[in-house]
Amino acid sequence: MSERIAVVGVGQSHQAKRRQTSIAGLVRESVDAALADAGLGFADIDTIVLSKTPDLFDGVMQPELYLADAMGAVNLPVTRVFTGGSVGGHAAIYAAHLVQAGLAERVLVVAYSKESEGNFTWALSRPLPFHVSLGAGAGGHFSPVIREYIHRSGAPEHIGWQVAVNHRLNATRNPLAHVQMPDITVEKVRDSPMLWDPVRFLESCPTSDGSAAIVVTGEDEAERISAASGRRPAWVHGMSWRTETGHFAGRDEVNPQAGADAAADAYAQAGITRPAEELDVAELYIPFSWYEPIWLENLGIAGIGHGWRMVDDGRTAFSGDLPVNPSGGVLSGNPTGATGLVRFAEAAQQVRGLAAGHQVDGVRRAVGHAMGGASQFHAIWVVGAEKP
Amino acid sequence: MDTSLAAPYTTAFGFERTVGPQIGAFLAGLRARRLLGVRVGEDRVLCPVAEFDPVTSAATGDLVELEPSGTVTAWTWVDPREGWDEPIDSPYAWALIRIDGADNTFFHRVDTGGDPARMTPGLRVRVRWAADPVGSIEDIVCFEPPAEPPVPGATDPGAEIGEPVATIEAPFHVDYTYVAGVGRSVYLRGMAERRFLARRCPGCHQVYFPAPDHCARCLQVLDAPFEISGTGTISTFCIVNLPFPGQLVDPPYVVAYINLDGTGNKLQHRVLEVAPDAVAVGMQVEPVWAPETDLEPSLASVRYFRPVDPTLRVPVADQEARDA
Repeated sequence: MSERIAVVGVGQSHQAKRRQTSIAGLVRESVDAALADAGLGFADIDTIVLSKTPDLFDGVMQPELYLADAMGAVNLPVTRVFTGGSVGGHAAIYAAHLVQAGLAERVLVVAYSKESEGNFTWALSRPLPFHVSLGAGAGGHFSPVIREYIHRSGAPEHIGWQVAVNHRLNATRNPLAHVQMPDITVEKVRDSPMLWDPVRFLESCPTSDGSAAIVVTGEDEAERISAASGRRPAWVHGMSWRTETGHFAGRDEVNPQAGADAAADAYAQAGITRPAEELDVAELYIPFSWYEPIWLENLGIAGIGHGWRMVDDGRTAFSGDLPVNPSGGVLSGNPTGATGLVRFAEAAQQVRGLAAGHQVDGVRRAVGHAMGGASQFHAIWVVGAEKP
Repeated sequence: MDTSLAAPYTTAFGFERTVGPQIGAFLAGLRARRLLGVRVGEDRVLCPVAEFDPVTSAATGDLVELEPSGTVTAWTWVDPREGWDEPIDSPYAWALIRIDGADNTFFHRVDTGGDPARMTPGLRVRVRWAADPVGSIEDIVCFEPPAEPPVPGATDPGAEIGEPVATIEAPFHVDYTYVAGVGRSVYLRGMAERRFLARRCPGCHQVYFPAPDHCARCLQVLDAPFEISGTGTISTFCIVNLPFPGQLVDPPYVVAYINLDGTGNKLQHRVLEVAPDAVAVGMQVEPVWAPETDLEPSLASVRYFRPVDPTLRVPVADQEARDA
């Protein structure tokens, strides 16, 4: 990479099924927290990037306009990034690109979702002319892909249950996480209702209200800001984004090329050749528990067909050698427009040593990952405690 | 035919918006026919109330009571639009009004009895309250001249404001023309004739059904359509177990990705006439068409797929009845 990039401030709201705040107020919670973490005020920010899901999810048209005051965007350039569920990851990378291009010095990245104001399922599955209404629902895309993964890999069914337990137990360490289930067990997951066979209720993510914000800068600013704040930055060692269409002939939905290419690109920038050994923690976009082994393989952390073994061997649990989603992950909180940025921000907090109750010991390098659409948008960054 | 299918399409839904404490108090004021502003910074007042100062982005401060009168600073005249439910009988202006004691302007209607000539810079106006205020911006029907003297009983400074309004309804309605696209219209028209029209990419030789106009891999225009049988293989599937609105079949039922014979992509469709737990990856399936009178340019002309092997089929009187 050219200019070195760092994250110097992180803020997140509490996540919940329904937050009794305005959207502006919800966004402001994270903006204030991120600026306070960085020791900056609105006057220090020179560019703003907004991450948000499709307008119909909460019915706010042009949220980048409506939120100008809540984000402190008066007289500043504002860009809205828009790539489905991965949008928060893309927004973070876009902010880094603005700094690398010399177009900005201190970028505030803002992300939110307040799906409780609308109807997520309705917005995702409106009957269109010339289309057949199949009644597949929100899990109708991912569940068949999961079945194909299980079919290919021969993974035993308890893998999905174990991931659900791991992530929910992790969430008990994170007071901001929406789902708090300290008494969860594999039996409870196994016995929970089957929604989209083979996916059970407790193997699925919630929809949540929540927001997140980060401050992204270049090297000089990061050193100055962290010296003043006393909190060290997270340095970006590699970052990449890739896209593919949803249903092209010959597509591999289980192991999408775009995801594999994005990961390979980010690792190459970071000088990583053995990701499973060189990464200390991973925050991955896992909306259904089986996506943990699927992404471990797609991102090159496990060999093809072997991702489930990392789960089975306990390597991805909190006490394992590569904990996945110590924050509780998407399974424990899913403010869709912010979910990707939360993954990127949680990776940053781990290398900054600021992940509080869910801090993993001795993290030097972490990966943040976000996926959008029907696994069409992929964003990934590798962050480190030391300068790259 | 090298034209695109198109059809009217309406998307409409009601959202429930949480307004926050400041705007909630403003709306509660309207419900009591009292107009509130909010202090920002040292010496400015905003009306209507905002949660954050649009100049400094700081959180706004204390609420203050204002007279429900003000001065027009700018406007545009609008004629009634057909099909719109207007709260005023005659044409009116949309105007920016500086409320007495406020530093910003309020965007709302001004009713001059249908006379645009009465709209002048500096026109003094007052609030016309709705008959039954509910805690909504529509509790102000419009502003109207003259501002003075106040109409007795039009506003009640002693009225109890009560609890802030928590949420407001925010309906969404957009009428579109949905355009299917020239490429996709080829296969859609085939569906109306019980024909599966596939297309091959001249670059990578992949065959598409459904076929767009361009290959998503190499971006070349696909070759001329040709007919395939419509039989295929279940690539993978899920069993929908949870009930939700709009379902045509009662759960459990199978939604599968089906790789039609001779094609490289997959289509998503229901698989019926088979017990859900007997469905398997690799199962051969064939289409079951809708009756002639129900054929349309849509994959819905295929009511569902069923196993090719008749010994795997089970009667689906129930499913068919619900599906029809």
